[in-house]
Amino acid sequence: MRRLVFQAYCFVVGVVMGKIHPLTPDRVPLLYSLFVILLVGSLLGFVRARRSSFPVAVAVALFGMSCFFLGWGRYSASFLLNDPGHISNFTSASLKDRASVEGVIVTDPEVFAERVTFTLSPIRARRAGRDDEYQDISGGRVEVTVRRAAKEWYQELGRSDAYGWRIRINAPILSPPGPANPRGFSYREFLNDQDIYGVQTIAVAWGSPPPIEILDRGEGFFLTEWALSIKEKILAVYVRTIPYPQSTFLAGVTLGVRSTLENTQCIVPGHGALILDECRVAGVTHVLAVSGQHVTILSGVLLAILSSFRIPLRVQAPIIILVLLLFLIITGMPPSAMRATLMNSLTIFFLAMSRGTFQSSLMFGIAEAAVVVLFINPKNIVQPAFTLSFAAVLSLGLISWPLEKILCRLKGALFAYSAGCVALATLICTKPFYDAIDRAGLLGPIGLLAVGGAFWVRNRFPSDTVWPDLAYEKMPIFLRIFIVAQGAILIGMMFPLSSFYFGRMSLAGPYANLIAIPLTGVVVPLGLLAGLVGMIPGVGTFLALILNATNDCLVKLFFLITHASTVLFPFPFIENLTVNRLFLGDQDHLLERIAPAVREVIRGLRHHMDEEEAGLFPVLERTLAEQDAARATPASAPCHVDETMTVNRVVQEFPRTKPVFDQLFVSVPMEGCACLDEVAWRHGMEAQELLKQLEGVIASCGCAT
Amino acid sequence: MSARIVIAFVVLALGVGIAVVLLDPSYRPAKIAETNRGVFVNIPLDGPAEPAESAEAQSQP
Repeated sequence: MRRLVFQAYCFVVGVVMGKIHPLTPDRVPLLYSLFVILLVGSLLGFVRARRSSFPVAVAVALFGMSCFFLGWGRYSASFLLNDPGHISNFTSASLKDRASVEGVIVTDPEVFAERVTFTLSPIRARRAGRDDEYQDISGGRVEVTVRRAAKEWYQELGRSDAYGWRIRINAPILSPPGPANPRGFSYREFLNDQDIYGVQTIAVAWGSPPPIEILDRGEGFFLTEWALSIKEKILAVYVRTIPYPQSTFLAGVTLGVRSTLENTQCIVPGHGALILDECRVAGVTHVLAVSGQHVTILSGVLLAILSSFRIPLRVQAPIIILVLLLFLIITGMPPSAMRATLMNSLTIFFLAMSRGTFQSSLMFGIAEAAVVVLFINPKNIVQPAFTLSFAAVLSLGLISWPLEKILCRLKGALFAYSAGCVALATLICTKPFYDAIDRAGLLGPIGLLAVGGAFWVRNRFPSDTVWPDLAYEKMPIFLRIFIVAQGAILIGMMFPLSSFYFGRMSLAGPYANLIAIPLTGVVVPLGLLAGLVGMIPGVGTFLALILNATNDCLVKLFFLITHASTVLFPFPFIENLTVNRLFLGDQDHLLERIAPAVREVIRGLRHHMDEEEAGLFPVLERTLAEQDAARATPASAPCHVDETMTVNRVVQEFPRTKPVFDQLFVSVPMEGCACLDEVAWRHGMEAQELLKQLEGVIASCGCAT
Repeated sequence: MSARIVIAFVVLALGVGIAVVLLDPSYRPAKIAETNRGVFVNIPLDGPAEPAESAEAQSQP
C-alpha cells in the first residue's frame, strides 16, 4: 500500500512540475515514451526482485519516476490548443463577430434570479462572414449565459430537463475576461481550468436567426438524467415542507443549490445583511457546498449507526459506499461531491479490507483519489476547491494524531494555563478588542510570550502537584475529537490556504464551526431523509413535514449562530501569513508609499469623468426635452405606475399600495430595487395584472393627486 | 455510540417535529409553499395556494 501511495504522490508531483514548467506539445510524446520505458523497467525490476536479490527500492524508484513523467505529460497535454478545431480558435474579443455553435448541454442549468448558466459541449461551429460551412470542434467547451431579459429562453432552459439537449446558439463567442488587476482573479484562467474557452451571452429573445434554436430535446447520460430528476423531486418536497428562507439553506446543504441563497436576507429583524455574507464572515461557507465535509459527515453518521448495532466493518463498507453513491446521484453529481465520494469510498474500502490503520487507509484513499481526479483533469491542481478539500483531509490524516498527542500532555496547571490562553485569545479576537490593536505585528510576540509562559508553568508547577484532576484527557471523547479535527484543519488548511486564496480570514470560524458542523451533521441526514420520504405518495408529505419541522428549528439556530458570530467577531483582510506580517508588519508605511499613486489614479479618473459628462449631458438634455414635449400632449388615460418603475418608487410615491405587495409576498426590503415586471414574473403573474391592481388601489384611495 | 443513543436521537427529532407541526398553525404544506413562491424558479408549487386576504380588505383602516 505504501508503494502505491508513493507512486500516487510521484504522479501529483509530476502534475505540479507540469504547472511550473509545461512542455511544448511536440515534447509530450517524449514524456509518454519515458513513462512507458520506466514502467516496463520497474515491472521487470519487481519480477527480478522476487526471484533474485535485485533491490526492490530500485524498482519502486523506477515506478515512481514513470508516474512522475506521466503526470508531467498529462498536464502539458492539457494545453494542446494548436488543433485548428479547438473552440479557442473560434473566440473573438468583439461583439460584432457573430458565430453559430451547435452543441449539447452537458451541465445542469444553474438558475439565478437574473440569468441561467450552463456549459455547452460544442459539436460544430461557424463564424459569420469567415466560414462558409460548419467546422467540427475537436476540444474545449463554451459557457452560455441566458439573461432574464430573453424571457422565453430563460424559462425554457432554466430547467434540469434541458440537460442533454442539442441546441444552436447564434451569438458571438467571446474570450473570457482576464484579470481586472495585475495578479488578480482571472475569470479566463478559472474557466480554462474547467476546459471552457469561450462565453456566449443571450440577452434578447428575438433576432434573425433566433439567438437559440433547439435542435433535439434528447437525453444525456442516463445516470445524470436520473440524478437530476430525483434532485428536482426532492426540491419539490422542500418547497412544501420547509418555509423560506430555511428552504434555501436546506437546498444548499443537501443538494448544492446555492443560487437561491444569493439574495436571501438574514432572519434577524433590522439587519439587512445577506445570509451568504454572514456565512462568509462566520467562516461557515464550506457547509453550503456539497463537498468532502458532507460526504464525510454522512460516512461518519452511517459508521456510527451501523457500529452501534455491532455490524462488522466488512459488511458496513459496501453498505456505506452504496449510500454514498446514492447521495452522489441525489446531489446531481457535482465534481466536488464526486471527488469526496471517491476519497471516502476508497478509505472505507481499504479500512475494511486491509489490516492497516484508519490513518494509513485515509492516506491511501486521498492519494488514489487525487490520481484519478488529476488524471481526468490535471488543471484541477490549482483550483481552490481541489486544494482546499484535499488539504482538509490531509490535515486530518497527518496533523490530527500528533496534535492529539501534544494536547494529551496538558494536565494540571498547564491545562488551566492553556485554557486561560484560549479564552484570552478569544477575547482579543472579538470586535472591540481587535479594533483597539493598531499594530498587527504585536500578535506574533504575544503568541511567543504565551508559548514561553507554557514552558514556565510546566516547569514551575508539575502536573501531579497542582490541580491533578484537570486534564485534556479527561474531557468527553466527542469534544476531544472535535477539537483535534478543528485544530488540524485550522493549521493545515484554513490559516495558510484561506488567506492565500481569499485574502481574508474568519476569526469567528473556529467558534462558529464548533456548533455549525455538528448542526450540519444532523441537518444533512434529516433533510435527505425528509426529501426521500416526501416522495412517497400520500403519507410522505406529512412525514417529510415532521422531519423538516425539526430541520426548520435547527436551520434557524444555524442562522442565529452565524449572525451572532458576525456581530461579535471581525473579518480582517489577511494576505498571507509571513514572518514579516507576524512580527514586523506595519501597514501604515505601505499606505504611505502607495497613497501618491492612488491620488494620481483618482485625479485621472475625475478628469476622464468630466470629459465623459461634457459629451453626454447635451445628449441627455435633448432627450429629456423631447420626453417633456411628448408628455405635454394630452394622454388618453392617466397611468400612475408603469412596469419599469421599481417597487421602492411605487411604495414611496403611493404608500397605500404596500398591502398589494404584502398580499403577493413581495419583500419590499429585498425586492425593492426590482422593476414591477420582474417582480410580477417572479411571483407568477402577468405584469399588466399587477399594474391593474396597483392602479385600482391608487384610484380607490385617491392618493394619485 | 450505542444503539440507544441513535434511537433516542431519532425519537427526539420526530418529537420536536411533531410538536412544531401541532403547535404552529402556519406550518402547513400550502402555507409553506406560498412562502417559497418565486424562490425556486423552476420548481412548480404543488397544491392549491390558500387564498390570502384581498388588497381591499388589507387596505381598510
